[in-house]
Amino acid sequence: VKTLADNDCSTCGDVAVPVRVIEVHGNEDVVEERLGICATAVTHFVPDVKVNEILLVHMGVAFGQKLGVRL
Amino acid sequence: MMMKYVDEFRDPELIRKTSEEIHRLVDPNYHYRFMEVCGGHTFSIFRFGLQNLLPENIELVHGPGCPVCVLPMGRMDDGLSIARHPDVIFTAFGDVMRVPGQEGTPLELRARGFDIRMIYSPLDALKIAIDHPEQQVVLFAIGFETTAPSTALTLIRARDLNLSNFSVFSNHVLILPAIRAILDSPDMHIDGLIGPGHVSAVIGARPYEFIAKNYGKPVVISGFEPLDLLQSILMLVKQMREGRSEVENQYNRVVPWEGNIPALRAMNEVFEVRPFFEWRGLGIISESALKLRPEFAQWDAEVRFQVKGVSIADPKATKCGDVLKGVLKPHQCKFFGKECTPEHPVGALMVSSEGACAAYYHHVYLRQAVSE
Repeated sequence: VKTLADNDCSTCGDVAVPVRVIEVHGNEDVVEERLGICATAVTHFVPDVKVNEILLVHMGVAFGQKLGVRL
Repeated sequence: MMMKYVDEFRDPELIRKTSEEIHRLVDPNYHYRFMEVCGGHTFSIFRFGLQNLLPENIELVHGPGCPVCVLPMGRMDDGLSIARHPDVIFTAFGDVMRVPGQEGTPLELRARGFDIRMIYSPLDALKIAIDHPEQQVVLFAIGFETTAPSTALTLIRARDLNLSNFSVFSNHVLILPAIRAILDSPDMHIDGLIGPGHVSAVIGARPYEFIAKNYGKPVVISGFEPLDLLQSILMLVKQMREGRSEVENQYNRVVPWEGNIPALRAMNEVFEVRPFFEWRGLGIISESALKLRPEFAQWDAEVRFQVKGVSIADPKATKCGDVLKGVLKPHQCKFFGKECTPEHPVGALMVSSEGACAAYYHHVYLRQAVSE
């Protein structure tokens, strides 16, 4: 298994990916998915993001927080 | 490294036990029909061969939850008419690039020289607009409530930046009116629904309560891993066995009961519900899609480019609507695997990898063909 996004349709939200927050920069934070790939995610919809927190990101925008998930 | 999100939900022993529990609890004299609403669930069911782990009297019906598949060809032609404007940079997600209009796909138009670019996020389109102030940048926006907040956020940023060369062609649709239309369909019989996972992370679980209350059908919101889906089916079976019809949340590690309030607020600020919208395979469904509010008219591509609103009927011989409503299985359409393939889709459900026909083609039909 490489990533949850394998072979799926990116338009649909099903392939949203859990990521760990690496750096917090206001509303655009650096996140890392479980294979170590880093990207920027917009965190407008998830308040008070903290480093090491796990977020659910789809299309570069985080919409899930306080997940019962570890990477 | 054990990863709770994936590995534990693919544990063979847990999967075997859950499958056995389902077999133990079903009524052998009843034929169960459960609809998985979401295209991602359809994909997982075929990919992991989950139907093989279920009793023969549990039938999974593949629902309308693939936004690319339900997009009518007329909307694609409308979008591509914008892409043909000489000063336009037309942006779309990867899955949309191979959706055919009457005169080809976005990829084919790009090969003919039009400036059509694939993006990962709606915000990428905004960045292109900032970087190319001399051109009009149009975002072909599509998806259910999972993607609509991202488009809304992009439009709010465009407004805040007073960006005049950016606009959105909205094809966002809503899952609940589609479910209601299916439940109201006279030729439809469903015992329970496997509710979408990430749509529900935005809208929450509460909006599904009308299905349990008004239609008397159990709903279980599910994750996408094999054990998620089997556990959801087990929860549906248990509800029926106990005479209950409730909304339950199997995917509570991700889906909060109330959804994501800031995301819903952004959607409400930017979008309003269209009186009606055409769904490929399902026809016109009232109040089932989103358009930009008048306050955002200057960023509305339908207004800016005076889009005609083309309506094109689906090829009548294809049975997309019957497959979407679970009346037929994909391979029972006479076009399946012949004229209609993932490389050359005729019907809507063959377009995206999450369409029921494409998923069946890749994970059942091809495997059978190879083994024969």
